[in-house]
Amino acid sequence: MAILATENVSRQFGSVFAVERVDLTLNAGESVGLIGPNGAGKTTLLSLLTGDLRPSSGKILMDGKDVTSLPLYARVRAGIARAAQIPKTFSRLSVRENVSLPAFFGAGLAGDAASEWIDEVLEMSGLSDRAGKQAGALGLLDRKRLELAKAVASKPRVLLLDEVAAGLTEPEIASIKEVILRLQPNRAIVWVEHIPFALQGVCSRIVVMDKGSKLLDGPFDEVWASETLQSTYMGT
Amino acid sequence: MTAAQFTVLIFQGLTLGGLYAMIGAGLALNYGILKVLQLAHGEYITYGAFAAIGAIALFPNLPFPLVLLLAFLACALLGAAAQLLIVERAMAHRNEVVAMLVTFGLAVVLRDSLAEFAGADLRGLSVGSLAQANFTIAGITLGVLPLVSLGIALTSFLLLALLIFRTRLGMEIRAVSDMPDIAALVGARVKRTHIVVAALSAGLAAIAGVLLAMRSSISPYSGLDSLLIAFEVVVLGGLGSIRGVLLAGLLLGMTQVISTWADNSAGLFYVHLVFFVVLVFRAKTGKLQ
Amino acid sequence: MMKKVEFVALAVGAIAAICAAIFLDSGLQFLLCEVLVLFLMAQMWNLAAGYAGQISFGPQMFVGLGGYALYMISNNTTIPVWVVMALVPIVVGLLAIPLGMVVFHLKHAYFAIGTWVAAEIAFQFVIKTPSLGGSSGLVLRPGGEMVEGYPEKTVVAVALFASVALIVALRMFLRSRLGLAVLAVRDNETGAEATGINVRRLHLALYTLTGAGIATAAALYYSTTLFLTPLDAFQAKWAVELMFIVVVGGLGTLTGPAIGVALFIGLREFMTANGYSGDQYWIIMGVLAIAVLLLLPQGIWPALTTFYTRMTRGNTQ
Repeated sequence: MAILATENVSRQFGSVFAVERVDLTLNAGESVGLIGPNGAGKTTLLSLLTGDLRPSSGKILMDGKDVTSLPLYARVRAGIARAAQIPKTFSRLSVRENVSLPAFFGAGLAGDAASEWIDEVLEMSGLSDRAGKQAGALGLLDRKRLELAKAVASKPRVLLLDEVAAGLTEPEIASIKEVILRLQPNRAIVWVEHIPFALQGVCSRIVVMDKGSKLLDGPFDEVWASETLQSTYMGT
Repeated sequence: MTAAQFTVLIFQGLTLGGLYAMIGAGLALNYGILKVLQLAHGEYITYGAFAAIGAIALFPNLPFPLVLLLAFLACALLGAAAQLLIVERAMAHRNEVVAMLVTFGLAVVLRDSLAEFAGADLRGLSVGSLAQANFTIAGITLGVLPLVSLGIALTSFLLLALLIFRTRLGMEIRAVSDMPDIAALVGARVKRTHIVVAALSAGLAAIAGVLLAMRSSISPYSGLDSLLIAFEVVVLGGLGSIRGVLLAGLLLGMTQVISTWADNSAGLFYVHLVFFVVLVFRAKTGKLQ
Repeated sequence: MMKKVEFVALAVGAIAAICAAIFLDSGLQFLLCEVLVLFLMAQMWNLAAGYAGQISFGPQMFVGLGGYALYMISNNTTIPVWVVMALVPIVVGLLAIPLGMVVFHLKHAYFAIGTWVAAEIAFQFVIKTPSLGGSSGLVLRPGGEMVEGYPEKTVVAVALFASVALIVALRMFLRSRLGLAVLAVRDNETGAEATGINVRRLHLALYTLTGAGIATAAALYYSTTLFLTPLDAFQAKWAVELMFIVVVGGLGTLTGPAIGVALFIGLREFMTANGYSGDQYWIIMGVLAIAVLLLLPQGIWPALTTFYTRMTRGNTQ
């Protein structure tokens, strides 16, 4: 059964459709790469899924239930979390406190269960040795890791990754990928990325968007080889 | 209510509305361009009134236009100096609250300096025979003074609009307001523009102060009351819109005149209430940024 | 969890409160009442403005509500004044919830101005309403009887202990999960919501809590003055004073308001004792505020702590 689905979802800004009539189904445990040229509507689609934005029309379903009108915080509690493109870390709080917040308020943990889970997330994201450091003092790679850790700490069943590899060097991308592979079991992932090679080995399925609409949707290799993809990227 | 009474009521509402709009004009300009909530605005209004009162006390025969000009220039100078020496520095700070709080300190210094210098008494601006002058049209008697006051307010608005939309200086001001960094790149003098705007805004406040002192009395401690009216006018008018300010002033002026007619202990109760309800309604329907 | 030092602070606070009630003379007690009441209010305004970013120009709304709640309930029922005092935060807190739901449609400058106008509406309403005493105000007559004895004796003890208890409570609060949420909201509001915090409800809770706190402090204050006028209770002076105290001392710190109050009242007492006028005092305060904001925009206390850490680090290196 689909864990998350959009039905005919659109979002207009003025007269422009940023996202137009998109149907997307995400199954439990599935990892989907979402690619497309600049302005294709990928980030807008993620914002519609998290509740940062409301769709102009259409529905968003989680486990078959309509969550379209749920606000951001309630969707986090329902199990949708996003690692933002520009890390939204709390710069005046410590790394551990940053991770604690979603563990407390998103996952609803308390006491020993909370601190064990926080330790585990810090370990998974490779931040254990910097747990006491102020988040504002971290470098870009570590801030990206922290952003991921914050998203994971709310125990999401759907994890949305928004260009988490952007701005990183190749070895850095490899190390972020390692973290993501560790996070993969038992949850669905939607990963938006400009750099398609980052998705390789993580995503078994690829969705291509262009001008607000869904263009292609299929297994990684099939989409990768398709001519439509080549023309979308090369042609424009 | 007879038709004549109704006409008088509308006339009073219009003239009071013009005064309210004038009270808000400088603040709207300041907030619209500098993006600083100028809490000393009420004090500039008071200073304008006292400059006029002082000028007339010293030179009883000074023609009224000169008194107005004198008050305008005095406050413009004060506003420019405050911007240059104090506010501009605070605006450099990352947190915009700092600039607002600095103007708050400035307001207190101005208020109590004036009280120390001129005494705390209420004063009015005597305009001689003009105060009692009236004229009659179709059996309805109206005062000349409110009409003059409305005329001054409308003229000020017209000149302000012409300055902002029809002159080189106005273009520079609008450029600095929209995109300070880019305006600086294409050669706009950002700091100088800020000072000009601060001077203009304090000057407009001074005119409002003169009109206020002609209508009722004013003390060094009247600043907060004026500031509140200015806030209401500017917020209702949509932060920084010249035409909006004029309409908001008229709405609040009308509200006060009509509510006082219906309930003579109304005070500003209904004015504040109308403001509050409109504000919240607009916020709720998403019309507030 | 309460730390040992906080427990000691509470005990010392209790002893000091009793001593202040017994040993200080009446004039000093009255002054101390004012200081402590201002401190309590400033700490509340600081919690809302400095931690939750709710900069309001209208705390006088709650000063007025607290005073009027105390007087109206005491004068018209037989409930003892000290019980009414405990009821004030509940009554005002309940009023603050719907008020907060309305004013939180407004943000930033709109919020600041909207809260001020709301306070003015309450002020004009009281003036227009004869059963609330109109513009001439009310005299405190609990159960219809005149107050006997010196209320400041009790009030100074309560206010002193409450001030210490408030600091301890706020320290504990900021260590708690909810406190962490407040700090997160201060850092980044949308980011906080994305961790699952119901930011709107948190804001409303803080607004209600700080409103009830200001009202309680006001009730303490007006129980010593024995009369209450709308002009005094609802005037913007309260907002002005609280802003001064918090901003000069250090917005968003627990020690800042204490330093602010000490400066504010200390300077006033010093200047009045030396024959300066109230206007001269305010000029100095205004200049002080401008100077602090331009030179140390964070306020005095944060500047002191930064200076201290720099000094100690300099020594160890």
